[in-house]
Amino acid sequence: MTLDELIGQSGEWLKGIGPESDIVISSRVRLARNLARFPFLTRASDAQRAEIHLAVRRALDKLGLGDNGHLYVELEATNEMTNRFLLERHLISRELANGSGDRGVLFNRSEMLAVMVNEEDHLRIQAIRAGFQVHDAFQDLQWLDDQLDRELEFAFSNEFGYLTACPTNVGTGMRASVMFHLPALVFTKQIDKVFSSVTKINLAVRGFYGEGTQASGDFYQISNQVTLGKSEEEILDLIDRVVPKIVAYERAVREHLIDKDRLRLEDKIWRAFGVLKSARSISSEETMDLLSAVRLGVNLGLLADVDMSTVNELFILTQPAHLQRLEKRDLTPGERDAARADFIRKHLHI
Amino acid sequence: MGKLCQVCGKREAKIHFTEIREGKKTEMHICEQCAHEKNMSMAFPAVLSQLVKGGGPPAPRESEAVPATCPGCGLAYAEFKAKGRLGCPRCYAAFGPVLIPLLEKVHGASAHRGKTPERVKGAMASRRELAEIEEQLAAAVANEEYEKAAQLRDRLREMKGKES
Ligand SMILES: [Zn+2]
Ligand SMILES: [Zn+2]
Repeated sequence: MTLDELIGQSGEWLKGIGPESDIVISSRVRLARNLARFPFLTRASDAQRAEIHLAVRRALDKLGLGDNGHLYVELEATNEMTNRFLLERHLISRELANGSGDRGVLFNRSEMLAVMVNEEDHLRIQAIRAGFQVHDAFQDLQWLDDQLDRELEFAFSNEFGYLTACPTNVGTGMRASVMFHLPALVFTKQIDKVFSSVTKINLAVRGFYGEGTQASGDFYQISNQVTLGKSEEEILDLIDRVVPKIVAYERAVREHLIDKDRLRLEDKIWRAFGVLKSARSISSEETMDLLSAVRLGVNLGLLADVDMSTVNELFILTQPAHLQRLEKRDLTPGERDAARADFIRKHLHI
Repeated sequence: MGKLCQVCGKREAKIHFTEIREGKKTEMHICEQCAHEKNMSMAFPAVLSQLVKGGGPPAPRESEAVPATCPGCGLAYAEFKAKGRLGCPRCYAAFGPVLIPLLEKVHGASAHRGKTPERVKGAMASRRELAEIEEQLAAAVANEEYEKAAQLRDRLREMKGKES
């Protein structure tokens, strides 16, 4: 498997399948792990960092990912564009992309399993699933976690659990997160109510967006804040309790909009679709905003001829590094906006 | 121009976080450069927001003896306090007295209740079994059951051999 093969495909989790996939984009679980016999990375010498990298790579080579092909990318050898490309695909974190020194990422062909090496911790093992499937995502990690521990011996204490560089991750070392698409709650300015209800059970809500609140594509993720003093199952159960409530809330508001504000809603969706189908130059922010409305339109059955997977993929494939990889050259911001508009038109052809 | 970056106060904030913890909503507006420097990712660690606000881990109570540095990696406690990152697995034991109140504050708990690696479970079980056999052996010797004692001694030797 090669990096170039990636451009022609997209991660399994973007297929728009899985439970509650109209509202829940993906479920992700990641485990932070460190090798017992080495210092954490902030105190590791370059030589130790290289040794850790080598030890983990050997173990990963031996184990594989039980998949029809996988790829290891040494990030020290890549250029900035490649790192951004992997970041846009959610295969690596910002920290790993912008880091320095020996580090890398292993992922499988479906892009559902990924292991980051020498990020904040020696290992960050991640599983991602389409839709609402946090328990399954957690189960996906167990075999790999156990085998890697056997090979590498993770830092663990009976008192504090898995030991991590940052005390906010210690214990289970687990962060489970669910990514939502909540356009109706944003549209009706109800999103703050979701925030306040979710925090009562100790979960964190994060919105990550560029300029303007709509630029995020109305994506929000919730995740557990606590990693110590609760078992993995207890943490997942907490997520399990809150996700259906948010889904039900978003659905209720969508129904209310169709009932009471149908014209304004349809107008917004059809205008968004119209611009995306016709634009000759479009920014990343505007794309996210309009795609969000189109995604809602597809879910409501208004845009019956558009594929959910196509819309999901466009959120990722229209990002700057993806466009440049597709065009096989560096693009100026102006060229990028034109290439983005072309790409969208091609994919929304009806 | 939009909001100014809350870290440097100079450049325009391009990245906006909303973080909610314990019912309190915190908004953060940061420029791209500061976000890179602070290694901010989508997973915005709680400690970081404390650090940005100048909080940092709680100061140790004076009565408690905290080593100035970790014997495992040489990390100074002051550096942990400044950066919020530990240096090695042994830091947890070394800075325990000050770390436990911090863990209580962040997690509402300071004891692990989750998964134990199979390797550690196996080691714990065999340690328990060793202790049991040693007890039986002592009892057999005390009761002058020499044949039984010999069997137990062989079993012990076999188990210890396997362990190393
Ligand atoms: Zn700044
Ligand atoms: Zn240390």
